[in-house]
Amino acid sequence: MITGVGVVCALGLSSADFFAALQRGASNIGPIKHLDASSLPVQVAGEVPLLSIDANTLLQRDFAFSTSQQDLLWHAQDRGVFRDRKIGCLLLAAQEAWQMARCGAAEQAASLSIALGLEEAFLEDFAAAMQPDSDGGRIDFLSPRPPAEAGAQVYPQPYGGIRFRSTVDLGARVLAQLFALRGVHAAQASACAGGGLAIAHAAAQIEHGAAEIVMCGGADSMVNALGLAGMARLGAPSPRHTSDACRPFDRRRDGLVIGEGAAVFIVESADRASARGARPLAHIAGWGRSQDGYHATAPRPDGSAAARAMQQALRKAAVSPAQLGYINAHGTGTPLNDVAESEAIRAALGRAGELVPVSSIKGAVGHLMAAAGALELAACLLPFERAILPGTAHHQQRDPACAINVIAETPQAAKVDTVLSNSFGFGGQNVSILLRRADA
Amino acid sequence: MPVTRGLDLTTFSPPLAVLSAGVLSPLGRGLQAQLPRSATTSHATTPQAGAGRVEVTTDVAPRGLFVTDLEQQEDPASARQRKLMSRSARLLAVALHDALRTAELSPPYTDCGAFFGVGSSGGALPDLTALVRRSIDDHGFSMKRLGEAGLYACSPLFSFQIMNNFTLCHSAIREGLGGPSDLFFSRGGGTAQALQAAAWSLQAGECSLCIVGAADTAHYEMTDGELRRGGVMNAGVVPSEGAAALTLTTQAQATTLGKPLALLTSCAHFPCGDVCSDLDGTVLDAAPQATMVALTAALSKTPQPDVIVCALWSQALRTWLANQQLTDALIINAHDVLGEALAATPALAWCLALRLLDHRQASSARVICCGLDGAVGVTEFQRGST
Repeated sequence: MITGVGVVCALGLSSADFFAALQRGASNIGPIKHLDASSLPVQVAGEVPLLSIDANTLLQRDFAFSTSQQDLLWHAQDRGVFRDRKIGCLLLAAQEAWQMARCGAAEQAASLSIALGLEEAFLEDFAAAMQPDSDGGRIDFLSPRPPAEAGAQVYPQPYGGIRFRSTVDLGARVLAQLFALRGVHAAQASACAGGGLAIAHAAAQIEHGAAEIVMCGGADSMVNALGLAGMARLGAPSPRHTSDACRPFDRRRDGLVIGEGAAVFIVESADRASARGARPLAHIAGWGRSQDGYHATAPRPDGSAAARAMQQALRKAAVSPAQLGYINAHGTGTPLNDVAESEAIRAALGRAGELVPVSSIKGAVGHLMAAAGALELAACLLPFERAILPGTAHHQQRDPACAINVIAETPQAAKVDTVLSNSFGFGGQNVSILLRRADA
Repeated sequence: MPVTRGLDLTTFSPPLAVLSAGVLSPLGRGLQAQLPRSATTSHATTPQAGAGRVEVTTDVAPRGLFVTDLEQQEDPASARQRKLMSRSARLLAVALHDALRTAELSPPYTDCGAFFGVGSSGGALPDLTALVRRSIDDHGFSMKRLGEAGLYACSPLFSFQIMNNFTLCHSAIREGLGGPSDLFFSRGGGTAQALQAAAWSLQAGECSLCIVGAADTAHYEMTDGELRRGGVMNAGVVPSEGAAALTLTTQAQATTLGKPLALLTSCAHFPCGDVCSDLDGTVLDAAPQATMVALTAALSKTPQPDVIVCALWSQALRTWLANQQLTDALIINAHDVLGEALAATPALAWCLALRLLDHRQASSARVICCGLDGAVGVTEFQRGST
């Protein structure tokens, strides 16, 4: 059972903000504000509406942090942890989920299963450590401080702590310490499928009796120098610098938009949730995973591997294709993904694949990479909470190559009992998660 | 943060079958090469009752341990693929290919799952250096210069090297793996979780065959810098590298595929809290009490195996181990022959245990790992039978 959710993304800093924005069909893609991207090929993003996210941000929210938690946040700040934006997003979302689920000391037995994307690389540190030599330069990774001639005043970040990059599991470590979690800590490293896989792993832990309660989800931000540069070199982002740059399943689509943020869930066994009187938001009824084994960036064109993941999720949940009420698609807005995913939906569901309502929220919030699957699963709670299916921002022209029932920009009123969320990663990792209404 | 539960191993009943192993380590390529010199000699002393025999070798090179001949290995990856691959991905390509080949399995591997521990990213430094150098103006790093020049100084393929999941994905693409997969960031503990996730996947019928293991290198300059700045090397770490992959299946499935190499009987992963290091990686305590509590439980758990392979990251933990009298089992100190290969260490230790099961005609082996993340992983194997 999901008993708590926390959200931080371009549409807001809480799940309530997120649901309200989805309900009114809002979108928040715009020029990147927290750094100067004006010379880059990628200039728009689904940016969290905060210029910095640090201990102050967290302590100014309406959260009841204990003195020791406050001390930890300041310690993390001193160590430079919040240079990595995804960690602040993660902690904000986790705190909301923890409070919503009314977790206390007994819930500190929880395990942790979090997808955290790549290390954030701090290119200003690399520049400060650049040593000229006969080959044109090398980076000195050993020096405890940048060389004096680099001009420390130019680089205001703390050099005593985290330098060059943040480790992949840094957010998980801070999170575990902040909530004093005693269970097993897992940091998924599965790119764009990571968030979904982290939640599937949490559900598997509970199913196999390895945990009774798990904090799970994902956080990511590639709205940083190397993230933007790397994605630009891959050619995946839309070349347009407009608020409608990402148009999932639209005939005119030309690429993704990078987003950032986090979504965190409290997942626990039904018995445990019931015994402590936690309000169930939804039941994780099934999940399926597969690999394309095909290409580094292109999805398998016939969608057969992704279809297997969807079919596994349906089978595990004992839900027939005709019973499925909604699919939250991976829907990146890239030419290849959306066609392949359409094929996968049709292959997995047969005739029902042409009828079931499908939407993607990436046009509204961007592609959150490792956090995408988690945020999109949070969007899947909207039908249960408010009887609304999210729309697909900027989807205006149907693409005959995507022969599925795409919900356009306007959200759709509907009461459904089961929803499916798809996440597909660069490299070919696929995961589908099926939620069932808690009272169904 | 103390350990709050006992040694609660997940026992697989019936055990899972290990069909084969692919491994590339400083000891060499293939399972046969994974035999420390000390394990080939007879014991000069009779073990005392209640005293585990800790074997120590002197195989460790001063600057660490390396897979020295990766370029000369028969490599399943093409030249173009190799340009996309980090060193960890290249190590895994060899190990994973060997695991499939030695299991005598034939493609397609549509039903084959893959669960791995992976380490930090490892993009080619010449690319990264070129990007940074051309992004510097008179005041240091400049976003404007990055967009105008730095961005174009590195290969578009560089992105594939810095994505951690591509440690596996290159191999998955190359071999056509189609089953479930998950990757866990690991400094030891994550690799134990990958094994557990693989076992659950098999037990749940998600797939009929799984490849599980890890790949990593501690020699990547950025990683090396992190370890040195944090004082990890001073705590007794010998940096190393390698990759290992085991093919797992259910015993029922194994009966149709031949005699298994070994049986996987149980595994577990115990978080011991973030007491080893500060958030920036600085070593705070190389032998924390919580870790020793978990290690004590892991060493003394009954029934005792014939062989225990211990891979403990710090010299303080290894010294503590040498002074324990908790078991009659032969204890092999894996760090002395394999060094610290971060995510890969547990998987390399599994292969060492499998080799020792065969070499010593032992009936059971336990692998106990404690990596830089402070978690203790325990895995138990039995000699193969159907």
